[in-house]
Amino acid sequence: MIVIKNLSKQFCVNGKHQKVLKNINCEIKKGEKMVIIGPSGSGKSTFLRCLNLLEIPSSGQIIFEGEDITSSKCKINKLRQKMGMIFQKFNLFPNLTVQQNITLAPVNLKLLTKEKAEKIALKLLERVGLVSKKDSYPSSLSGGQQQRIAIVRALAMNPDVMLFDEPTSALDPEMVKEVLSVIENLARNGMTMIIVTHEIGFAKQVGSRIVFMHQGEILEDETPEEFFENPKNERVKEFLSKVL
Amino acid sequence: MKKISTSVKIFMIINFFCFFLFALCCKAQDDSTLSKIKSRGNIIMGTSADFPPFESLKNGKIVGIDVEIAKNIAKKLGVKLETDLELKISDLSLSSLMFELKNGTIDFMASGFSYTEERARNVNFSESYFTASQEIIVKKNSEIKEPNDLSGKKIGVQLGTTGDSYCTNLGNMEVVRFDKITDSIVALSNGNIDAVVIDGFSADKIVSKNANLHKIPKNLTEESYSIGVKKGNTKLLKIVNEVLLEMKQNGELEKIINSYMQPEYVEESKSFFEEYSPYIIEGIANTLKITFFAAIIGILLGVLMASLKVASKSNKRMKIFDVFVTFYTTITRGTPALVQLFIMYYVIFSRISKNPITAAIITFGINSGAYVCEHVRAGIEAIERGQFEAGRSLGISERVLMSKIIVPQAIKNILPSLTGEIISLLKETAVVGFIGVMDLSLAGKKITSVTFEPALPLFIVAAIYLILVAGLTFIHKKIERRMKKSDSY
Repeated sequence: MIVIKNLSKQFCVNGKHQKVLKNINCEIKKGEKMVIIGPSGSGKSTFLRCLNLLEIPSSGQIIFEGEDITSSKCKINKLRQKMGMIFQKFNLFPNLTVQQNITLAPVNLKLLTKEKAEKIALKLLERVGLVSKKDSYPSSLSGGQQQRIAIVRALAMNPDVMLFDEPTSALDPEMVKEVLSVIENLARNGMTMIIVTHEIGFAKQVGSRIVFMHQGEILEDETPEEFFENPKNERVKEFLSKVL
Repeated sequence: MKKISTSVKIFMIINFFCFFLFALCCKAQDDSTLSKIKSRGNIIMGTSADFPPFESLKNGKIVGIDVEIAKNIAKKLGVKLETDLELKISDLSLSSLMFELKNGTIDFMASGFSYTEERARNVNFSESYFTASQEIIVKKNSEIKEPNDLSGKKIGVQLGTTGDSYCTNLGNMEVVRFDKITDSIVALSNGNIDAVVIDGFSADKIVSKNANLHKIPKNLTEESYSIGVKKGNTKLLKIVNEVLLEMKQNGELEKIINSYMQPEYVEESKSFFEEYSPYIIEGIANTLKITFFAAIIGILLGVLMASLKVASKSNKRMKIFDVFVTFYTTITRGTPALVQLFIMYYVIFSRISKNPITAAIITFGINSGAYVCEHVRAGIEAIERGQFEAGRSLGISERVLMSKIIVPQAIKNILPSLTGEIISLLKETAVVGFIGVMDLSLAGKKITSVTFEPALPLFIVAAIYLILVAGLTFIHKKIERRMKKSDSY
């Protein structure tokens, strides 16, 4: 579904070039749940954000559903409609109600009529147990509730793949579970997902594949069993010894 | 504005420039020809209504000898053109009358207008219908007995009048200029000056009220009043002359002049509010009209410009808009609104429309747009990056992202500065009087020029501005409260 070839990204900070991603190659198949872990500053988030071009890659190719999205001919908005993105800080629109947050994109892109979009919004809200909040504004919701709404907002676009950028990092501990269970649910229903997270237990449980990144490179790319039982790379062993 | 693509926007901007070029290139149309007057159904007289008994303001209407003559001209033309002509009167300053006549905004001017060579270069004069004299008032025991005696004496005149320029040109006397004729009379009575030079009918009025003053029998000079039409408009000039001749022959002109020269007419007065409230009301209406529409244009333009500028930061293809918007805000914020107003009205508008209110609305709309643009831009830049990213990750267009998510939040951020902008816009519109729009400030000035009593009208005008600003602040508070809705539930 997504093929990444020689992906590199460098930032220019204070006139100094900094390589954040170095020649990343990998492939994500339909239905896979790829979990990316690694120490902070290893380029996990940048990698994820390159996939829907929130960061523009410096070089390399990303082929999504047979189309090279790094080429200038690529319709960037069409591509993003197929990729749901969940942010660390939820990024709900504070000026819109929960329901308006969810229906804004499908209605404005003419994917759905207003009535249809509202119906779908209600159905999805029911799945995450937040129907009663449909007319609330985001500022009146807890972080966990906001993140669940953000997931619903992405789902309303009926995406082919979901990108999670540390979805529980900004949450109070007691709210992490409610969000993770929603993501687990999605995983069970066969959604293709790429998740950047620090929740090792969750990674083990949900991931069909664990990718370990360090200093802009992929050091390990294994099944969860193999990764946690039998790590090969020294750096991975060191990391796991600290977090497990 | 909702559903236009980038290319259409570029097209619109190009159009906008073409429109200006076109406006500058094409020749002004002559709207004073008889056929134009006929198709319009009205004839417009220009006058400066501060010269009783020829023209002055009475209960919100302009009345006087010139107005009576103009009515006859309209009637005569109506018969000729087989339409009922409505007489419209524009009240302007004497200097702008000449310009407006040339420009075709008014069809003829009747404003106690006397012949000079300089004026004759721009205007065709009709036959004279009244001869006014400049006369000399002195104390009863004065040694000045005839005009020649003025030599070497201190002479009081009213600033800018024919008497002023005549005495100044003679050069053999010391000319003391007064703002108000009454001040010169006080100075004469106190012995500070030796004589006052003034027009004949004012002289009669003053002498009849001051027993110790008298008029010396011989006039200093005489001038004839005529009606002015646009240079070369001989058809209209011929009709005006016919009317004047008829009125002279059947005695109507004399009757009118006599009736207006009656002292009781001049003396008649009403209470301040009865007499002047029409100006104040018209002034408020115009000030509000200009502020309201200019604010709408300003906000739409400002939001559009700011959105373009912000969008151009993330999209290389839109770089041109960044340059354009920067150009626009630099020019607009770097030049005085009054100069912009003059350019709009006298240069751009002189070829396309003659409505000073529209010119004022457009000028202040464009002007305000630049300030709103900077406010909105600052408001947008204060919004978290995550909002842009969330919108973009959903695949919505920049336009929807801006109009549905970013701008509404930005507006909330900038509401205080936006209200401030509208308040200063309201006050800034006070300069529209310069192009002859009767706004609140001009109304105050006009009343002052008739009553010679500045305090009351100016305080009233200031109080009304204050009330209007308080009203805007009240509306601002209400909107702010409503917008707070999304902050808590």
